[in-house]
Amino acid sequence: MNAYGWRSIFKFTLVQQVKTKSFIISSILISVLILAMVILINVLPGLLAPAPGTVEDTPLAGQTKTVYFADASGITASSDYQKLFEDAGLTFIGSDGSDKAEEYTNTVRNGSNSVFVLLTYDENTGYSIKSMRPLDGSVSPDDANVIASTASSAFSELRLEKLGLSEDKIPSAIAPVTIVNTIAGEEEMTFAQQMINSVLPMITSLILFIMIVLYGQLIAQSVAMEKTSKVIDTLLISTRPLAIIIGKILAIGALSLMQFIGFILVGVIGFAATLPLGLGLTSQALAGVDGVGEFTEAFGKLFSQISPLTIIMILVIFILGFLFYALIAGLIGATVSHSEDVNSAMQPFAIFSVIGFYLAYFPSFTEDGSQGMLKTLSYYLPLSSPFSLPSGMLTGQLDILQTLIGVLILAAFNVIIALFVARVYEQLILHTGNRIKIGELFGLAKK
Amino acid sequence: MALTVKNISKKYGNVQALSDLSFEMSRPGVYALLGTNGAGKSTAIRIILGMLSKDTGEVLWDGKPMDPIRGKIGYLAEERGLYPKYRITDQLMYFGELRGMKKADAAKAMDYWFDRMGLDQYREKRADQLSKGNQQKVQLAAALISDPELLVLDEPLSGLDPVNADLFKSIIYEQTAKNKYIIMSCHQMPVIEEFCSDLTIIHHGHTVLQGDLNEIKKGYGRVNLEVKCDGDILPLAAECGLTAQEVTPDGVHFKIKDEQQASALLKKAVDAGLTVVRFDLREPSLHEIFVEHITRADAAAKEVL
Repeated sequence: MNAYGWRSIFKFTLVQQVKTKSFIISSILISVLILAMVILINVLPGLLAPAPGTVEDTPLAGQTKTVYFADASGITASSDYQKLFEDAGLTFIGSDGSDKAEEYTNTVRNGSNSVFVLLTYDENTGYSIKSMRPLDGSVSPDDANVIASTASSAFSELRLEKLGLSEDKIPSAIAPVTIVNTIAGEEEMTFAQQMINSVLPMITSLILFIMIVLYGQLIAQSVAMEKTSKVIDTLLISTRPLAIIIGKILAIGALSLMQFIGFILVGVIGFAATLPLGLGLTSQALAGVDGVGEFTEAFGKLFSQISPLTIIMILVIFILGFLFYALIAGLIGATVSHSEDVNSAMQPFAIFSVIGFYLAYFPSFTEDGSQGMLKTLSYYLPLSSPFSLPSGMLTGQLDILQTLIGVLILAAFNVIIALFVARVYEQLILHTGNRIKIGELFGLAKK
Repeated sequence: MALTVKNISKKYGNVQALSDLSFEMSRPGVYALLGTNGAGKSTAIRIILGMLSKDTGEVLWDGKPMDPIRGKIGYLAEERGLYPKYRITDQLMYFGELRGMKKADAAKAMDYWFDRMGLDQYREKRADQLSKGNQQKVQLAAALISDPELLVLDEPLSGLDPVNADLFKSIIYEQTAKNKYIIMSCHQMPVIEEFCSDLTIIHHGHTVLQGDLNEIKKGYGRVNLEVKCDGDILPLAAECGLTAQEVTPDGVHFKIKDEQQASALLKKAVDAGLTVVRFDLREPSLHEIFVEHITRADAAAKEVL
């Protein structure tokens, strides 16, 4: 098998593809989208967050001006809430029991800018806080909810105090209880880590999946175009079919890599450039938001664990995975004799790549870190391993030996596919007439 | 140097596309590979050029197995092919580099052929922006860019207007003068007669005629008679035992058994006082030889069945 000339094919294909309008337009459009996205990521939290201090100072901000309060809890009295609402700048009208509930209801219903809060107790259902707003829409459901939530928070503390708990013990009494479920002997996973473990496999799989679908189609079209435009006859006196497909696949693979690196650079540079602007808007707002620190810490921990070997392995897996699918795409492109048949011929390719992607992605998502059979299979099946191995390494679910086994199986299948392609491609590339079926390909390989 | 094709055969499934084709080009010139559509010419060319594997036989260049990739070979395929959306200069440079040329040499050769073929004004154009004739010129330039020693031209003049056909012919003459080896496949028999000294006619994969064209023609003798005169020649021809093969405004065509029949007809015409405008006694044309051999081969095949 002679691959003489593949470098010229690689260079020509790469240069010509870079010059195409579709490549230029898609690169610019996606770069602009990425830039817009990272700017939004930086700026949006700051724009959406309330100004510093406003959360505490004006919890009842909105169009509400008067609060009617009927306390039928039997524990607290309406007067317990008066200061809270009046400090927020609202007029407070309260009563104990539910006698005035109907009156308050009618007043609020027919009035404007007022909310009626009814606090009741039922032996079966417990305590209930109901907020009612005017018919004219002057108070939004969200504003009414804020009033009810404020009353609810106050009630949680007040009832403990009324039942005899000292003020210093109240925070302990109302602190939330978190349930953690782990495998015995293993470190507990925070919510952020769980989220990263679910999202990271999806992102890494998705990147490769997009590369395979977009550029696989490009490879098939490029091979089919050379065949249908009869350029192949001119090429074949200078080089062998194997060199043509190798040069083409490597060129389009390099193109995809260049484009993705370009997108990542645009993202990183855009993020870094707009970070000062974002920080100015968000620093104070983020300071009090729970979870952001947890995510930052989890990401920091994850990235500090990535060794150069892991990065090299991931790159190798990406290249092998891309080659695996690219060889199949090139083979499919060579089976058609008319360019309009490429899309229909590529349908099995799309199905296989989707199966591979979902096989890698769904077990990760549903099994929450546990090593299920389907997930294990996805690491060693060449159809899915390019999608699952990188995330398995990144999330620490695979050790280096397991990864190596997966990579070796994938590499072995690449060699088998390459030998198969080399065997049938020469016969396919000069074939004209009906599209060659998959079964016929095996027949050609036997010859 | 010499091109030797020895007993090459190719089978597609149960169909024998080519059977024991052999010929030799021991000197530079134009060798014709002729045949009806589907006769096996393209299969033979693709095997000679190493594009297709052969079941049997060998192809030798200068006594050694042909290595088309490293050898100095040019090919103008029957079905023209260029990348429709790429600039023609990029394509020619690419084809030159694929033939192992250095970039500077390829650029120089491209400039020469663009100038020679009047393509200079289209340098920046894409292939799909050119007329069919100009695309064909680019294709010929691609075949010639590496200054090949062996040039294979499959239907080089099909679809060309008379001006461009003359341009192509002049280039073929130039290549012949430079002692290049040219294999030409063409359905235009006058073109073959104009250029070729030797030929092979293939039919259903089998060789039905092979040899030096002049010798083949001599073997037939001068059996065609074209007569044009200002009176009715047909009654006089009948007296000589001749029946007209074809009557056109430009004259009458007879098949004669020997040259004495022609002399007898001429004497009768002169004696009858007819003015003879043209009296042309000639060998059969390649077209006639071709049709005769194909018809004969078909008849023989029917007999076997």
